[in-house]
Amino acid sequence: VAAGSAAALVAPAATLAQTAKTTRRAARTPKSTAPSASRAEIEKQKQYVAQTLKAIREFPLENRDEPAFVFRPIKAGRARKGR
Amino acid sequence: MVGDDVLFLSVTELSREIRARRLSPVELTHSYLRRIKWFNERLNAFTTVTAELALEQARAAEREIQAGRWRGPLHGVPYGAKDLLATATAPTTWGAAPCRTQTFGRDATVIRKLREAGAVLLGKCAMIEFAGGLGYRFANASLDGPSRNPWGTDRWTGGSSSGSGAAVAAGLCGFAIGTETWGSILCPSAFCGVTGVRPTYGRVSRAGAMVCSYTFDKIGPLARSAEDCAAVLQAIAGPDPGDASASNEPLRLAGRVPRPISKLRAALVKMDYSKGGQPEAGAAFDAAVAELRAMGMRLTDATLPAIPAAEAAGLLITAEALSAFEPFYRDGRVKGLRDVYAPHQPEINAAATGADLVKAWRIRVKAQEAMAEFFSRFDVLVTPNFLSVAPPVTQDLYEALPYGDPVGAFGNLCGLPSVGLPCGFGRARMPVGFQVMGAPYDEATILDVAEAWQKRTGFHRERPPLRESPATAR
Repeated sequence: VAAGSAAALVAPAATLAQTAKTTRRAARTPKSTAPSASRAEIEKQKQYVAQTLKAIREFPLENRDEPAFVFRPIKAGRARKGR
Repeated sequence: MVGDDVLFLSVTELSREIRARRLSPVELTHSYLRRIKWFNERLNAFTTVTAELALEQARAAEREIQAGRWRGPLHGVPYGAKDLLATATAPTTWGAAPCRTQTFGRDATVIRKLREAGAVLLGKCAMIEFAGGLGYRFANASLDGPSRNPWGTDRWTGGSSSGSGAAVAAGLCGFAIGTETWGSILCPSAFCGVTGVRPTYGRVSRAGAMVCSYTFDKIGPLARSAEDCAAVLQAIAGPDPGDASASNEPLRLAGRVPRPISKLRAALVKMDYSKGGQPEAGAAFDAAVAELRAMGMRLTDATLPAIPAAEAAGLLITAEALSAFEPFYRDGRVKGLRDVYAPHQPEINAAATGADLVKAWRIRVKAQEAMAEFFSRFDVLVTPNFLSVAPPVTQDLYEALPYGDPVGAFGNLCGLPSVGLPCGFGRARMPVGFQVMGAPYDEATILDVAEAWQKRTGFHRERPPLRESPATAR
């Protein structure tokens, strides 16, 4: 996962620019991050996840819109190989 | 020993010299190993150097070629492999401190295919821990610290295929193998000024590769030209009983007749550089678009479908990564990672429900259908590959790269192929790139565009200002 994409995993794109503004002064290396600062960051990331979930939940889909994966029964004696 | 001019040759050029017996694979391998010795401490491109194996493979290649048994364009060409691909004779660290001594005793399918093609494994390339699947905020979220950019060693290479990008850019190997879940081939390609191909999902077997995300991971080449990427991709692609997702869709890149780019319908997806991008990078992209138009490409402004692709991709990747790395949470090894927030990811993402995941899967189909319609109107999509140059290695990456990646979100959510190409320089004379994305399994068309671009331009032939004296190196 690329860096910007890693950020997007926890923050919808629209919030990333705002994050940059608010963290510019507070940027620090992980080793110097105090526990309380870590807790604040964890809470911030939880908010980003909430925004991601909001976007997913609000996207309209019909009942018949199926997921991308296909379930296939496996015949007897035929184990499917993984990676 | 051969000189820098040879070490920076493309795979195609190296291969021609090797086949004609004007260049010894053994001498070439010795020379790359010497260059690695010189620069690796500064760049952190390789986690493990497999010198003995490399020389053994090089000697075997030389014997075969001298006997008239030439295997193909990779025969005798040295390469590096991202350190999440299992190798029988070297550790495979996944870039993570808890896995520093991990071994598998077998080769990943990609490693085996490259061995069978006669390529020479120089070593394992550094990477972001767990390929960034558990998130990371600083470039030092890697086993031995950040990989450093050959174009400016105070800057990062991008990730998660960090060492692969550095090794190719610095002329430490002929080509490298990287992987992409979301951005991990294209990002180092952009930041290091090299060419990288993210193949269609399923194009290359992932058997023996670390899983970051079961339904997003792709393996692809980083090299000094699109032609090189085509040669490597041809060698590693194909079905594999060891990976149920590996496709048997035919790939015929060698000897293909390229489609003239004037005949292609190209979508131009512009990005907003005002939200954290750099105007110099925007200027380089605009110049690239003007050049493509001068080459006869018909570019039409286009927009992406109104679907929350980034959110769906983000949720699915996070959920799959949390599942894939669950053993590290169970026994506490996750606390050994460099990123301080990785141990907290289950808590951070606890609000996601099973229904949310299923919804993301259903959104994924909508995105696929929308992109199928998109690629019924267009043959390729042209867009920037990152809106800024490589950031300093110590910078907070959330701050350094604050813009979204909507094209990457659709590309990876839908498993679409893309090629990253250098197109100029931005701030501090760091490389800038753009990308050409295509329809599933249509790597040939995006490589047609890439090869035409590189026949016309010389950005891919630029070399970083590395010197063998640390005192003069940047």
